[in-house]
Amino acid sequence: MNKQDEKLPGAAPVVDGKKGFLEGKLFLLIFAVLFATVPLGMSSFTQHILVLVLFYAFCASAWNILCGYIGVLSLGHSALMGIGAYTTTLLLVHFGVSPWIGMFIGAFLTGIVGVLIGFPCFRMSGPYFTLTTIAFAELLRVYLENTKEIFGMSTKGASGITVPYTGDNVAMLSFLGKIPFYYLMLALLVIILLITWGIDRSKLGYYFVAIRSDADAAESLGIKLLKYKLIGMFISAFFIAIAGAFYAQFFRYINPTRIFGLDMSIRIALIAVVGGQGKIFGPTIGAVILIPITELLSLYFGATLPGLHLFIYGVVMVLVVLFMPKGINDYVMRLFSWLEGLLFGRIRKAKETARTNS
Amino acid sequence: MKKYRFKTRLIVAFLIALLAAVTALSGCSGGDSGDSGDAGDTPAGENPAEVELGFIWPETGGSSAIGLEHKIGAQKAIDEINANGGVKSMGGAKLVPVWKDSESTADVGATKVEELVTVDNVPIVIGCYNSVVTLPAAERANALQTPFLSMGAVGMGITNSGFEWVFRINNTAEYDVVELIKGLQLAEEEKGVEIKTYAVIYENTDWGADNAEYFKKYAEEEGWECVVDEPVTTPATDLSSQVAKIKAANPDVVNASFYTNDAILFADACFNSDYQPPYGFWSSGGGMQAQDFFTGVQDPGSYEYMFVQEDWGVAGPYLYDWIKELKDQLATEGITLNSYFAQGWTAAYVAYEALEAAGTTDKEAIRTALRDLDIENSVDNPSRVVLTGYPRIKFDEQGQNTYSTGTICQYQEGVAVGLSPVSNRFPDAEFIIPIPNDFASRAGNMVEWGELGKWEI
Amino acid sequence: MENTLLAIPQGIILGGAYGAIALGLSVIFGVTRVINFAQGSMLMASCFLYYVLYENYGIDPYIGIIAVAPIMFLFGYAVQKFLVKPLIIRERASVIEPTSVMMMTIGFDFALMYLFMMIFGASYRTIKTTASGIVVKTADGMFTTTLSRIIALIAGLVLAFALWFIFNKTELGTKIRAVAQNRTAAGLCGVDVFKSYSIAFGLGVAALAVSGACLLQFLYAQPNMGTMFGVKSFMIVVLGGLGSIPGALIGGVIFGVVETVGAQLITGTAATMLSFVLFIIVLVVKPTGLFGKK
Repeated sequence: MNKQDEKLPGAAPVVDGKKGFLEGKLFLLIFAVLFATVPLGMSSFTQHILVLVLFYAFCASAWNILCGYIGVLSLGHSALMGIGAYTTTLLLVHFGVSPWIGMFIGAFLTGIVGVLIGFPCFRMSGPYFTLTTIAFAELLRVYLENTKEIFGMSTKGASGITVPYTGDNVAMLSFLGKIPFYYLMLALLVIILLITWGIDRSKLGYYFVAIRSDADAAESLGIKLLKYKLIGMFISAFFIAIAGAFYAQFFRYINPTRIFGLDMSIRIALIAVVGGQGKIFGPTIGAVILIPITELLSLYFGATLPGLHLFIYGVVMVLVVLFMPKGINDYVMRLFSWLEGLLFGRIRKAKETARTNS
Repeated sequence: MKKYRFKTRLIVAFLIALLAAVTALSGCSGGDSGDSGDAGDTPAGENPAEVELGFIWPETGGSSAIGLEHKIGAQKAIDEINANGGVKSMGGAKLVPVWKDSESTADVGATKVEELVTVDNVPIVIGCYNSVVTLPAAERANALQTPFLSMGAVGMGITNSGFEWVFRINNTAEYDVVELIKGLQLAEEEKGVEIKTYAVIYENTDWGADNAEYFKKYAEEEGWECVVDEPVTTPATDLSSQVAKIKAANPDVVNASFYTNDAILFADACFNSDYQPPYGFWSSGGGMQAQDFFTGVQDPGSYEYMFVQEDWGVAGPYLYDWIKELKDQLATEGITLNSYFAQGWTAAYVAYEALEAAGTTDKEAIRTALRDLDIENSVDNPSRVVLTGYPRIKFDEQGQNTYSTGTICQYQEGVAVGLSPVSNRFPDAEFIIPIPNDFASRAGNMVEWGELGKWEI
Repeated sequence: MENTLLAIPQGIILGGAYGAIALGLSVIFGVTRVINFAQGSMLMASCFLYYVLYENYGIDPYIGIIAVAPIMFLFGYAVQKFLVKPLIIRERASVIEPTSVMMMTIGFDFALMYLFMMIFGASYRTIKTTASGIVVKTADGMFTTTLSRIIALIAGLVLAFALWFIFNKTELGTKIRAVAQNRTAAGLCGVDVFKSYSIAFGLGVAALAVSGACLLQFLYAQPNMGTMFGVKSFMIVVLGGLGSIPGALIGGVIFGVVETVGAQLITGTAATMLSFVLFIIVLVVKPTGLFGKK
C-alpha cells in the first residue's frame, strides 16, 4: 500500500475504488490558508518582508513562463520590469492616470517590446541570447540614467521619480499600510500561478517543454520555435511589467539603476532556478526560502559583514545548480507527498480497522 | 547509488528550509536581538534610562568612506552629550545610537527606516548622506510619522515634497552651487579677472547631474558660456579622453562632480596631461573631499589649487577655541576633523536638542520641538551643537534650515584653505588665481594630507 | 579634429588593456564552450592579491605575477574540475537545461565578489608604484599617457602571443585544440578531455591574473570593480569572436577606440550606449563576431 504513496505529487492512492478528497491537495490548502492569514497581526517590518516574498515569487513566476518552461535564459528581465514601472509612473505623475489602468497599458507595451526583442534574438543559441538580454537591459539603464525627458515627460534621469503619496486611495493604488499591498500581491501571485498551471497542463505547455528538451527535434516535428517563444515572451513580459507597476507603487520611488539593474535580473532568475524552473510552484518556493534568509541576514549582519547576504545568494546558487539542478521544488513536493501518504495512510488504516471490527 | 544521492539532496533541501524557517521565526518574534530593545514611548511619569537614536549611513558601497566619517562624528557627539549628563529633561537618559548601513543604495535606506521605526522603535531617524538614499528614506519616515533629520544629502526633493516630518540641516544642491558661484564672483572681484567660459563634467548620478544642472543655470545668469557638457558613466575606467576634450575647448573654469573613485581617475588624468583651467577646478565636493581621494591620487599635485565647497565652516578651528580643542583631541585619536565628521556631530546634537526640548520620546512632541528649534552660533556666543559653523539652525515651513552655509576652499600647499564667504576665511588667506603652471614642483611644496603646514595653529 | 585623431592611440592603449582581460574569456569559451560569467570577479580577486602583496611585502605587481598567475591558474583549474565538469557531464547525459553552467558561474561571480567585500570592505584601494607614476608624453605635450597603461597594452600583446604559442606550437596546445574541435573524437584518440578543459580554464584565469597586475597600476582594487569589466569583456569577445585570441585583442582595441573617439564627438555616456547598440547589432547579425568559431 505504501508503494503507491511514492507516486508523483498530486496522484492520490486509490484504495477501495475511492479517492480521498483531500489527497494531493492537503498541503496546497494548508499553504493557501497560511498565505491568506500570515500578515495579520505581524509587525510592519515582517509584513514588508512578506510582501517582498510574494513580489519576488510573482516576478520569478513570470520569468519562469519564458525561461523555465521554454528554457531560454534571460538576464534582462529587469528591463521589462522597468518599462512597466516607468510607464505606469509617468502616466500617473504627468497625466494622473490611475496605476490600475497604467499597469495594463504598461503591461501591453512591455509585452510588445518583448516580442520585438524576441524576433531577432530568439534565433540565437543559448549564451548569445543571454548576453543580448543583458546588453539590452544595460542599454536601457544607461539611457534612462542620462535622459531627462521622454516624449516631453520629465524622467529626471538618474535621480529617479518619486511616486506621490496620496495616503489611502484605492483608486490610485496607494495605501497607508502594508496589508492591502500584501493581498494585492497575493491575488496577483494566485493569478500567475493559475496561468502557469494552465500552461503546464495545456498543449501550449507541451510545446514549451518540447522546445526546452530538444529544440531541433521539436522543430522537426513541426513546432514553430519562434512562434511559441514569442508567446512565452509576451506573457512573461506582460506580467513582469505589472510587477514593475507594483514596485513603483509599493516603494514609491523608482530609479534606473535599481529597476533596470543586472542585480535585479539575476535575483529573479536565481529565485526561479533555486526554487525550480519549469514547475508551477518552483519560483514561489524559491522566494519563500531565499527572501527571508537574505533580508534577515542583511538585518543582522549588514553592518558587521557587508555583503554577507549577497555572498550567501551566490553560494546557494552554485550549490543548487550543482546538486539540485531542478531546484528545490521536486524535493519539497516529494516531502509533502510523503507526509500526506503517512497521514492518509494512518487514517485509512484506522478506517479499515474500524470496518473490519464492526 | 542513485538512491543515496537523492537522500543527501533531500536532507540538504530540508536543511535550507529549516534555516529559512528558523531565521524567519527569530525575525518575527520582535526581532530585538543584537540591538537593545528597550526604547519606545515612556510610560507616563517615568523617564527611560536610555533613548535610542536611529542612524542610517552608507557604511558600505561607493560612499562608505564618507559614511563612516559621519558615523564617527555622531558617536563622538553622543559620547560628549552622555558625559555631560545625557538628556536632562528626561532625568539624564543616555543616548544610544542604533546604526544601520544604507549600502549607498536607494531602497535599502527605506528598508532600514522601516527596521528602525518598527523593530527598534526609535523616536527619531537621522541620515543618510546620499541624496538618492535619503529621498525614499525620508518619504518612508514621513509615512510612518517619525521625525527624520536629513544630514548630508543635497537633493531638492527632500524638502520640497511636502514631507511634514522631515527636516534638513545642511545645504541643498542648489545652494551648494550658489555658494560656488558666489565664490567665483568673489575671486573675479579680488583678483581682477573675468570669467567667460566654463565646462561641466559629472558622473551621471542624481547628485552629479543635479549639480551640473544648477551650475549651468546660475552660470548662464552670469553670462558665462558652456563649452563642454560631459556626463560620465560611473564607474569609469579612464577619463583621459574627456580631459583631452575639455583641454581642447579651453574653458576658464571647470566644474567637476565625482565620487571618490572617478575623482581619482579625473585628477590623475588632468595631472598627467598637465591640464588645468586658468581659473581652476571648482567642485561641490563629494569625492574630492574624501580621505581616500587624497591618498589615492598618483601625485598629490593633482589636487593642489582645486576649489571645493566644503559643507562646513572650515575656519572653525581658527575662529572658535572649542573647535580647536576638539580638533586637537581628535588628532590624538587619529581622527580627522572634516566636514563629514562635523555633519555627523551636528546631526546627533540637533537630535539631542530636540529631545531636550521635548522632554519625551513622543514623536509628535519631538517634531514640535524641531519646528521650534532655534540655535544661534557666533564667535562671541558659540554653540557646541553647530560644529558645522552655520550662523544659525532654524527650519522653515518646508523643513529646510535656511541658515546652513559651507565654505569655498582652495587647496594651497595641500591644505584646504577657507576663502569664501569672507566670514569663513582663514586668517590672511587669498585666492591663488590664475592657477600657477608648476606641475612638476607642486608635490614638493605640499604638506602631508591632514597636516596644516603654515596654517598650523 | 586633432583631438579626435589623438584619441585613437588613447583608444588603442585602453583597448589593449580591455583585450587582455577579454583574452581569458575567449580562451575558456573557445575550448570548453563555457561562458565564464565569473570573469570580472576573478580579475578583481587577482587585483586584490597583488594589492596585498604590495601593501604588506612591497612586491611590485609585475613581479607579483610570478606568484599570482600560478595561483590563479590553479584556481581556474579547480573551478573547472570541481564546479564545471560535473555540469558538463550531466548536460551531456540528460536533457537538463544547457544553461546550468552559466547560472553556476553567475552565482560564483556573486559569491566571489561579496566574499572579497566582506574581507576587504567597500573602499577603493590604490597603489603607487614606479610605473604608475611615470607619465609618457609626446614632445608637444598633446598626447599623454602613463607608463602603466602602455605596459598593459604590451602585456596584452605578449599574453596573446604566449597563448597563441601554447595553443599552436606545443603538444599540450594541440591536444587542447583537438578537444575544442571535437570532444568525442579527441577522447577516442586518447586525450584526457577534462584535463585539457581544466588546463584551458586555468590558462584563461592566469591570463586574467596578468591583466590584473597591469590594471592595478593605473586603476584600483575594489570588490565591485569586476562587473564593469565583465560586461565589457563579453561585448569585446563577441565582437572579436568567441574563441579567437587575435579576435579578443582586436575587439578590445576597437572597443577602446570607440570609447575614446566617441567621447570626443559625443558624450561619454552616449558612447557607452552606442557600444551597447553595436554589441546587440553584432549579436543579431553575426554572433560569431569577426573571427570567431561557432
